[in-house]
Amino acid sequence: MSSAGAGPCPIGPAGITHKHVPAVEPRRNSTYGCPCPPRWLSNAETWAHLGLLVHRCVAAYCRTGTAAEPGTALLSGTTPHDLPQVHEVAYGSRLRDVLPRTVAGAPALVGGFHGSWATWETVASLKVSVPGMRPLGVALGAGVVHAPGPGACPLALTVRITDYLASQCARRCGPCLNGLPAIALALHRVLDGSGGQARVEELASLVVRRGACAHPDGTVRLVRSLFTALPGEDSAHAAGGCIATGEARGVAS
Amino acid sequence: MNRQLRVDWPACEARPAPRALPEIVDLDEWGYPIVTGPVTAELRADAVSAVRACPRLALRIVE
Repeated sequence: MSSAGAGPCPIGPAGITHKHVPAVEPRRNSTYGCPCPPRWLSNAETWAHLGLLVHRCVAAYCRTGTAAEPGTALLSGTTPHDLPQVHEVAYGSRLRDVLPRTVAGAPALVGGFHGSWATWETVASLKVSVPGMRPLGVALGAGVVHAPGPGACPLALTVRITDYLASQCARRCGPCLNGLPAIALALHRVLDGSGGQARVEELASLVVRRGACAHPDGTVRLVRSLFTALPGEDSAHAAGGCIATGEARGVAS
Repeated sequence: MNRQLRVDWPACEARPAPRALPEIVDLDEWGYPIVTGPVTAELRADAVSAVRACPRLALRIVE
């Protein structure tokens, strides 16, 4: 390195010539794979499937599920009056079969905190499938289905989840660090009727795909899905009501 | 071939170089860059200057 860097900042415009700056985009190992074996990627569900394959055989394993997606998936379900449950279901089976009747008719959050809200009509029509659910705008994601049931306000739940997701920011990328708390605040204002959906969408567009990880993208997916699946909730709350809970204007607390 | 200006988000600290490439770089409400278009041949020299001027080395041109 030369001694030319006499400026106040050694890496600033008056400093060295930046020849060490990489000229190519960094590749993500999660996309391209790790170049140096051995590799070890696993989770509890993968271990469970490995055990099934070892104890049975491939043919027996493939007897469940569909031809395109053999085997089973683990779904975690949270419903209002039961303890959280984990269900092992064959691919291709109906999602509504893992949900109790008490939650029928109400929207559900599919895919976890980074997932998507879906109307009950959509949930009732879903069959468990990774590629099959995606075109419907409802990704299986983490396999978590939160069905709050009738009487729960999806907007209020989304506000709580967004607050949590904003607190879980790794604080490394500016748009996420600034944007997620701003989205959470804008959602609070939609909930109490003092703000509109337009501000939420404005902030969402400033956050999405502007981070090193997908945390902001997942948070935006959650927020956008609420307004897509349940249109009119913002104006209902602005008028003091809530469509999902059926609360009339002026009655909501 | 059009090239893209990419931001290294963890490195970026919202310290844009003065007047860095206003043709294709806006700033959001927190001062972080919003890349609005590709680096065309006419903008290439300015884009290289912007990459070199970034005090956090957070910009790069990718193909």
